Amino acid sequence: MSAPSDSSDDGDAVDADTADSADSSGLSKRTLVRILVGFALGVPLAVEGATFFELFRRQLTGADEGDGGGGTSTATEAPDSAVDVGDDVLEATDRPETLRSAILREESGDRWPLSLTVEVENTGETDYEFQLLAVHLDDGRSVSGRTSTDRLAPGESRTITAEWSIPAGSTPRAVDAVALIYGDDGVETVERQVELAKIPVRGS
Amino acid sequence: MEIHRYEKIWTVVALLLIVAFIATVTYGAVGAGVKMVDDSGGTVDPGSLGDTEFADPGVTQVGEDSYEVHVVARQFLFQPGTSEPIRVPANSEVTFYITSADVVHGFELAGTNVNTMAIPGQVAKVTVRFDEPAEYGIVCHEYCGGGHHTMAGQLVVVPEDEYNSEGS
Amino acid sequence: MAYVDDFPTDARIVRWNMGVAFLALGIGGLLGMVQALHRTGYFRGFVSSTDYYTVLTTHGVLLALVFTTFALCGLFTWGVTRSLDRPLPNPTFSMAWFGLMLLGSLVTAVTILGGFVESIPLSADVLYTFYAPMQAHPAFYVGLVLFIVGSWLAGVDWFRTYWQWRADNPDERIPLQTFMVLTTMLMWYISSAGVAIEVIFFLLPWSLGLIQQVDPLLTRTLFWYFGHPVVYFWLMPAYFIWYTVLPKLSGGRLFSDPLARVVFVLFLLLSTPVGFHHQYVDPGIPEGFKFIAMTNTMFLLLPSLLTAFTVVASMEHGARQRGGEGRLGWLRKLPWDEPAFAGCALAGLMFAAGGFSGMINAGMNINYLIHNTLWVPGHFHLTVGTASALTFMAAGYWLFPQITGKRLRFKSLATIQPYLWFVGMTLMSNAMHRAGLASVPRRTAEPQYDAVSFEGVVGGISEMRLQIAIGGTLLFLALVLFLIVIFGTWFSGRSADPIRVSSAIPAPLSGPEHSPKILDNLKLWTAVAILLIVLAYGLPLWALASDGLLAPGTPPIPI
Repeated sequence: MSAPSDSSDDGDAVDADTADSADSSGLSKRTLVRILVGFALGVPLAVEGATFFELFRRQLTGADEGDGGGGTSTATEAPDSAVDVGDDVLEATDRPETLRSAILREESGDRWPLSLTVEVENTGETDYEFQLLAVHLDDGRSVSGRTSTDRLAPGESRTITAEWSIPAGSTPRAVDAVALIYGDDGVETVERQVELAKIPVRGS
Repeated sequence: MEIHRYEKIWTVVALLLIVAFIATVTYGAVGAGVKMVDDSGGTVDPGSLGDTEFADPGVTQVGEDSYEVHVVARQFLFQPGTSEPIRVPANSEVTFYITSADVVHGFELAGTNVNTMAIPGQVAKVTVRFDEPAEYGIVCHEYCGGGHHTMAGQLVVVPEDEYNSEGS
Repeated sequence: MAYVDDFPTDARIVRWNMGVAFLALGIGGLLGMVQALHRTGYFRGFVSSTDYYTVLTTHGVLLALVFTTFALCGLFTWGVTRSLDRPLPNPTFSMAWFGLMLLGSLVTAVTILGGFVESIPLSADVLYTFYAPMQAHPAFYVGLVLFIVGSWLAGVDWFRTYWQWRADNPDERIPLQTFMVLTTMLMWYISSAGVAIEVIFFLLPWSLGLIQQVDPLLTRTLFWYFGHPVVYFWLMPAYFIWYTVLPKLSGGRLFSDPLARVVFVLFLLLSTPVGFHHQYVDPGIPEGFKFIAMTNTMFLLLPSLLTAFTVVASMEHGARQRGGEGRLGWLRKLPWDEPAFAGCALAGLMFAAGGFSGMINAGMNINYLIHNTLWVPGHFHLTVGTASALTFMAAGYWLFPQITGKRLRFKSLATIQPYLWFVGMTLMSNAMHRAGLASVPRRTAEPQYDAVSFEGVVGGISEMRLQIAIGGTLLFLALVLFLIVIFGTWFSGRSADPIRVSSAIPAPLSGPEHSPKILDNLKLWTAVAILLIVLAYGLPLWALASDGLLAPGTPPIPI
């Protein structure tokens, strides 16, 4: 075995190896190390200290007894007006267009099929048409499409199923819905981007 | 073997700490009565759940304040739980029977210690006391495929007088 | 004379192993940052949420298997040859195991990355635990088999070197570094048997269509038989550095050789019969076996606490040699400006925290609160992510000059790096632990649900997310600094001046001559280890297998 203290190695510590160092001049090694150690100990002490303090504070002042519901909702901002199965797609019109089903399937490959089925009843006195166009995804992209009930006479109903092939793993956020109300003096168009409630993905 | 005095003290303290940890967990098991999920749920054939009590998953009342909930986890939803919340009344004892129809899933009521795995072929039997009305989110916390992050559900503990036990 | 001059062929083996290790670290670490930004919602533009799981699988396999094992092989090759003062007996054999491990890693990695390309059938989005009935492409399993067999052969290489030395030195105690290598590899042989059986007899034939179904609980149990001891496969090389190199870096000597041997024997005995603590909430496993696993796991705290004592005592000794005085004042005399020292010391400090969060995981009924939540990654990023990874990086700073003959370049970056890693990891892991207490799940691309509200126990959920994103980014920056230093050193020119570090390690304060010879009786300890495993696993495995090895079974679900 070798001699007790390898003083040759201590030499490493003291020589400031400025030849191949990239730090700013003027900052001596000692100071740099002091700052580093201070920061490296300070940040964890602060973070962990705050955590422990908060834990004890909660424990001592009596934590909320499992209310279960009063937490932070992590839902992406889907407003209460988001349309779910059973809701009316276009509230703005007086005719009901009821979302009957929303199905998103996981499939192998890079696109997943999405289908929305809407039952439209023309309860008004003039002809009516309802269309689903593009679907908008959570990541900002859109997938185009066009499915229409075609012109419905008063009293007529039709159920349409619109299908899109969306990128695998993306989340449908909204759909463009258009209602065409035919009147004596032309067609009135109601177009909205309708927020959709979260659609559970079904496995293959 | 020469052992430094401090090291002897340290070893004794370490062993005492270990024994204290074991004692705490043992207390939890026998004192507080927290049972671990075990094999008492039995096994099923995941390919033919339709022939078992999982054919119609849902809530059934089995006693005055006792209920059973059969849950099937599959890619990517809980039956029941996802399309409609699981509803049980407050002040009840609920036994969950949880299995999977395809891959390994997780089942956790967020914020509680109701936490188990849904393994195809096995039935996880978990008995829970619900005292207060509340809403709990159900999380699948075991990766189960490309739609794993969409898999979630809800369990609602309804005030006793509001509970319609016909709903299952 | 540097190690590279004394053992040129072995130095090359060490270089290549460390090189592959750090390359895997670099790629895996980059993916880690992608994950941190994605799941916190700060940036989801790198991959889709479905491809996130491909990223996660790559991250797990590259870091938890490839990086750690190749680093161990580099360090252990250096340690064995250095402590026995003889080269590995057959360089061709050595290159063969390295090549096999590398081939296995590449085959598995390519298969996993194939998940990004839809048009090819290669895919393995099964995560590092590859639970059935999720099924990967057969190449994934083939790669794993090659990799594990390669690691077994590496152990054979070191054992052969030892036996040759033993033939020339019949009465001497096994030198400490070699002792540590041999005990670690004995533990590895015993523990990797579980995953080898799982893959070779079940998953691989199943993925080739030779058997129709497997029992998911049995295969999962075989995985966790291996899955706990593998963390000691990551930890023991870190302890190897803390025990044998860190005292010298501190300016002193190892406090006690015999106690180091005791610690490694304890790991050989206790690492494996604890696997059920990863299955505390699994149905199909009786509570009694879980309880046994719990008590065994709690006793595993002992070797780590003993290590804490010895390592700190050795550092204190070194500091006092350098002029340190006072109860705590000696801390200031330690070479905090030396990257190798700082990395090891900070890694050790962080490991203390990781050990305690591990005790929560071990607490059977307490485990209900954090199982499969983000707490668990919070825990293991402290242990494998810092205690192992940062120590391996620190060892790299110290070892690379010796295995290349070149001086360490970009020394200031190296000086900063361990501190940056430490701060980044504190931020990320602290937030992960807190999020786990709120039941935020792990292994999830988007832990944001309409149906679920997470109530932060300490601090708010969005604040935790921010902290994870910042911590993860700082970690990646630290990683980049490390890679610049190491590869910058490796590819620099060798100057005429000798390097400043040497592989000479001073004798410990209390040497092996003070320890009972029985500690060196590896056959005895192996036998006891196997006995403990039979006690912990015999009945459960028999129960799982007795209703049919493949039942209750499910057909594959390819992913």
